[in-house]
Amino acid sequence: MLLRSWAGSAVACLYFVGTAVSAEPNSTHPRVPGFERFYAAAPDPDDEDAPKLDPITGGRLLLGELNCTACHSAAEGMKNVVSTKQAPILDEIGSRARVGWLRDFISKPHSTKPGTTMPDLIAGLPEAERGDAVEALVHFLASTGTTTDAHPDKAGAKRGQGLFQKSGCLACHQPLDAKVADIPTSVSLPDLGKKYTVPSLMAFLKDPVKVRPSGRMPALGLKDEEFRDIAHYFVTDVELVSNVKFAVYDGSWDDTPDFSKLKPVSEGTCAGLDLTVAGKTGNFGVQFKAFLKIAKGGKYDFHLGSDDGSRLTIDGSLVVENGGVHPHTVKSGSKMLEPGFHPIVVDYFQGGGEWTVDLEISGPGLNRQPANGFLFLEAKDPAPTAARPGFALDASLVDKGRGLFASLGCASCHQMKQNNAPIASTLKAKPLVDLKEATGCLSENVAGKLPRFGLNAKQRAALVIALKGSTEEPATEKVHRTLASLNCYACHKRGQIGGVEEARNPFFESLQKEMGDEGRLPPLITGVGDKLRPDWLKHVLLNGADDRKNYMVVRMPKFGGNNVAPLVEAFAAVDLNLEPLPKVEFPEPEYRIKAAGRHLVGGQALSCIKCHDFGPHPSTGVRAINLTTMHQRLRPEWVNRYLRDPQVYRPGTRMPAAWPFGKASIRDVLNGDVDLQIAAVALYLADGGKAAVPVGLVREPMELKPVDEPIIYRNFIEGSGSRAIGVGYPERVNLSWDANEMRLAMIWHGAFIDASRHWTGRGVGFEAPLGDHLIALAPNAPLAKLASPNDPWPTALARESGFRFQGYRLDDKQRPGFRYSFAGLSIEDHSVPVTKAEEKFASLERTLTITGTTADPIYYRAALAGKIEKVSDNEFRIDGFLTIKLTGAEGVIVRQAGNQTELLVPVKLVGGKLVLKQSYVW
Amino acid sequence: MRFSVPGLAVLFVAWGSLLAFAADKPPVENDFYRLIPFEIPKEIMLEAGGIELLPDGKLAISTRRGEIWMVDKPFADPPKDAKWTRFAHGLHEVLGIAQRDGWLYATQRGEVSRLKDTNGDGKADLFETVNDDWQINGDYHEYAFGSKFDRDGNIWVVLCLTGSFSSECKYRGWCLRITPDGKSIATCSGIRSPGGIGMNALGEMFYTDNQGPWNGTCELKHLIPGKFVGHPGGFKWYDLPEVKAVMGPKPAEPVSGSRFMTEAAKIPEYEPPIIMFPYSKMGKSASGVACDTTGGKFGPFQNQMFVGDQSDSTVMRCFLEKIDGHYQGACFRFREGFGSGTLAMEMTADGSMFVGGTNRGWGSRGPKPGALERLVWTGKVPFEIHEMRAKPDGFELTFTQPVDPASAGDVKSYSMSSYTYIFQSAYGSPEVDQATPTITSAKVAADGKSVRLVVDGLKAGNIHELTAAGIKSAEGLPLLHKEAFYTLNRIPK
Repeated sequence: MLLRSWAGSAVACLYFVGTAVSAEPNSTHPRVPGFERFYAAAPDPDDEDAPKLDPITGGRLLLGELNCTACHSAAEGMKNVVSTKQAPILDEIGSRARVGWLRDFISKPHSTKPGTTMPDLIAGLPEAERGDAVEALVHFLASTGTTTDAHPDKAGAKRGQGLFQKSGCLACHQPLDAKVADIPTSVSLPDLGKKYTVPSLMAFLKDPVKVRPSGRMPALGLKDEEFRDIAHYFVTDVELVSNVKFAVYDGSWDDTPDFSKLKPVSEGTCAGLDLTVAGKTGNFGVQFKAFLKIAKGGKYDFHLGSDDGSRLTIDGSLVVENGGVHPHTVKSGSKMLEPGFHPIVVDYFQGGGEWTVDLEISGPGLNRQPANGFLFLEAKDPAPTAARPGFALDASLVDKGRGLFASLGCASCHQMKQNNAPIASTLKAKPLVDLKEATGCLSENVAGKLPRFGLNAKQRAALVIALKGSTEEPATEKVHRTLASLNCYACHKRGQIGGVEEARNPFFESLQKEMGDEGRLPPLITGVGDKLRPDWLKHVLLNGADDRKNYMVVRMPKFGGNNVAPLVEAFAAVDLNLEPLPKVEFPEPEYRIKAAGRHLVGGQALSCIKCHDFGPHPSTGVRAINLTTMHQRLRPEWVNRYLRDPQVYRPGTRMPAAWPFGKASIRDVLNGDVDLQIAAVALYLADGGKAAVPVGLVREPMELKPVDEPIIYRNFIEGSGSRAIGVGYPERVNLSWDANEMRLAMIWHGAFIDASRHWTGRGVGFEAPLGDHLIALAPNAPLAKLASPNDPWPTALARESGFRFQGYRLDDKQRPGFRYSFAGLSIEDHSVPVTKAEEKFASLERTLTITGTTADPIYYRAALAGKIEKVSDNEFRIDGFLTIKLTGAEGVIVRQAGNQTELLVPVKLVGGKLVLKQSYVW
Repeated sequence: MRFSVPGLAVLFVAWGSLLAFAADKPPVENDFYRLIPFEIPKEIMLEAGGIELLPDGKLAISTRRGEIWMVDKPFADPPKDAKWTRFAHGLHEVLGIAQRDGWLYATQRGEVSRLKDTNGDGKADLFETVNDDWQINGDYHEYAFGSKFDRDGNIWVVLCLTGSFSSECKYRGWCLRITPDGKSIATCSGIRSPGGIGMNALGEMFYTDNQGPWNGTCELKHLIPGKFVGHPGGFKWYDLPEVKAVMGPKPAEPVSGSRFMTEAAKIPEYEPPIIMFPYSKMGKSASGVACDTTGGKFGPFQNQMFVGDQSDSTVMRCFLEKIDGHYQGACFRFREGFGSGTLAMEMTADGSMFVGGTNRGWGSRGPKPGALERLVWTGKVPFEIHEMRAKPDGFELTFTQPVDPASAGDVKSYSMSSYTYIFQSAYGSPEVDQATPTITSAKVAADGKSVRLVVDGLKAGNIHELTAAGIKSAEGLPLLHKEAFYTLNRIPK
């Protein structure tokens, strides 16, 4: 089977996963996605379109991703063909990773995080020394900070799961769902809940490049609360320890009270500022007391948020006053604090409604984060408990660990600043050029003090090829290697290489399903250096992008300027097509050409705006990328070629060829000259956000105005169902009849309806009446069989109760009489406007003609309202503003129906016929 | 880009095009099939959804805005003084009209209705609901396309899914037959987003469906009562007793990511597309369906079918044959340049094809918001591939005119590629399973009217795209349209 694209076939893909790649889900060799995807498997010899890849690049990729040159110095030539992945910066690792995780990971990196690129350095030590060495390293790393836990948030975790699944994380990572088979190219994720706390994971996700400067993990363009939600998804089983004393007070206040003068109703200890201790939701107050541990002296900011009021006191002095009754409001204050424990008090009161309180801290070395991790019951470090195993830094172990960090080689890869200077590695290794096949790190079974990377045979072989090979690298290959190392290929296809893998394809979603794959999958980057203007390419690479946010759920993340900036020139060097724009001589002044361009883009010519947004105006169809950004983003030469045949540049695109086969489809603009027309569109769009809005975007009202005859409008009318039939009468009175429920649904005065919703664009949604004095009449069919006059009015759908709509007949003034059948009866429901000199507004006179025979007791419900007052015989005032008068009705019943009132008329057929008249005056 | 002397530049452009015409110009579509546009009065928004020629010689056109217009003298050429009168208004997006016994039947979103002018004032005054057994929720995508009467007097209605993805209320994603006495019969499941419905010369029913979930590209499908045509979104309605009675039990659901013919082999109820229109090569939104039953008045393509494309504003031509009891066949380009997005198509006995269009909501190459045009044969026969028939070892091409044996007998005059689309629940599909079959011999028949191609590497289930760029007619002309796309579901034995 020959495959040209990612999609392949299901069969082919199973084959691919099953045999072609060494999918070793339990193996612990370092996982480098670019290597696994393109170099670990031999290409399918039957696939003539399979890209031809030079295996040397696979080796170079590993040299960089495994950071070999951190220990083995490389010559200049080799440096040019290796992009090293710097190991995480560990300056503040203590505030990022939990102690237990550090211990597990250092002692057994490959089983703690299968696929990690960190080698095992401990295995090279004599067995007897390993435990002590690990402990010393852990103490040293933990000496750089402390982690703080946050309350678990189940709702947040659920949202976080959704964000993890669709924000692009799964382009590189494996879903946590164990049912999804291991994808060999997945970048390993350890059990993040063991490693991070919610605040530390959130801080990492917000700016991963800060601690992992080589950008392999990019920053997603999400909001803070979204990062927090993702963190909650990973960090779930948090056992919280009581660290705060509380005292609950009952009362109703309009400002934070002085609790010292009040008597608490209950007291105790709790984990964090936990308002559930009050045991109620309104009219209470809580005073929280604890000790705030400050490690580093300096100025700290406190952010106290609450609904209703609150107050923060530290060391007996007021820091934040957030008093009064209000929705959740955050107020901030700051205080200089010495290292040590400081008494802290949070006073809080709640009146009614929502109830919240939270306290955040930021200061020297601390990102803004929940203060809870710094709060303790007593002015000393707590004794160890099962939930929080004791860990007290041992100064001598810290020193020993620092020594090991330098001597074992940790410092070769990891930056770790102590007193502003990075620790230098004392590990010596051979220069790269002296490395030999099957020796040292490249041995099948690495022995001695050497680091254990867990390399598999293919990786060792690839490394050898790169070590032995030349250091020449064509420009195209360099671009490819960069894309493979940053795993750009996980999302983007370039030429025949990369693009979303079949197994990951379902994780890419679109907000505009109708756009198909191009609304869902990130764009091709074939020829991207030709397509995008250099400035824009730089902007996208450096800042990420969200130009496609109207349809594409994933966004271009930020990889860090140093890592991607060289691509701007590299893409241009490889991709640029130097063919100049066709020379055009405009036959008219530019302003006219621009107008022609505007016309072409608009709804009466090429209709680009039927799919593309334009400035602030959404398109009338799908929401494809904004036209006013085209000039800023795209090279005009590329646009000129693209417009002539979009399929060449974006195979499968929905973008039509406006100049098919080199001919203009609009022949009456600029003489039908293709070059001129394309130039005119480009000239017009060059105005960017200032370009005049083209015709067809802004919906203009289309009021239907009956003049001599009624206008019938059968469509989706709000309040009248999907089978609504609106009738606007020249007398400025209107009605809407619901052909699902056979009911007169609404009556109103004045303007009839605006048809623009349904008569422009696709006609999405329900349109409400345009006029005034709108009265919505009773729901449900107006007739029912009631065995007893006390039976409740049925609420089943009319069509399921035997009603059949039969259409309508127009009278001599074109006014419809609606017809339906029920229980053997034929009914015509015919309304006509009545105007009277003394009345400013027309009324309606409705005639129900019921014919046929039935043995069932049938009732007509003339009204359902809050209040029905009898004015005179068969005349009623409905809810104080509508007067109805019944003619031909006998034995009218006014009855209570729940908290409403109904007006029922028994249907008494005389000679197989009943004519009931009902007038509506309002 | 600089403004230059205007007069000179205009002259230059005009001079250029004059030169182009002076050259020995190859024939163009208009030489054989001529478009006669109607001038539509400005106050009428003719987004034509249905067309029917009435016994009194007037042409009725139904619109998306719910009007029905009558045009007198529709065959006038040019139709300059045609009189437009409004027969009805206030209907809900009428996508199909047909007349019988003095009634005009109209398929609206919510029902099939019939309309009559009982007082002779030229306007309908009686609007009877014939059948409204299906439901609508208020989603704009809930379109209903209605056919003409079949030989039993039924109107067939194809109902778009809710939002074109799922079936949120009764019969969305189904085809119903509405009998002369107003009953509905569940007929086919598996509809996604239809664009038109029509019969072949034998009165069998076909409809077009559009690229989306379970439709890798746009297609022509055969509506055979009891069959499932691809999108399982509406399967829940098999549970209704009235459906079960005529359709039998619910079929197995197709496996997403598979191929059309793979699933057809497993699911007996599944009737795969009979012609796939390769996406963007042959349009992007297949629409109306018509058949030339005029006995030669429309040129050499008797009994062939024609399918519109809304986004490209074209009409395509389809040749169908039956292999193992199932239709399949080839599509060809036929005529481009319609004024708006092709939607409704109606062939009349004199050999005219009326084509109506709209480009509201979905853009089209033809720029007008609405259009009505008549396409007529000029009497000149274009040099075209007339039929493309599958053979066990290749294809047989027949031509509308004798071929030049030298070029037509040279395998280098042809090239072929093949591919298919993924049958999947995700939207659309790229082309997959590409192959390059080799044409090993091309043998011209003695009469010069057909060529037998022997092809190495035919692949059942693939569309075989043939380009016959090198062949010439006996008169030395190139083909008017060089490409043919054969949906080779089955290779004949």
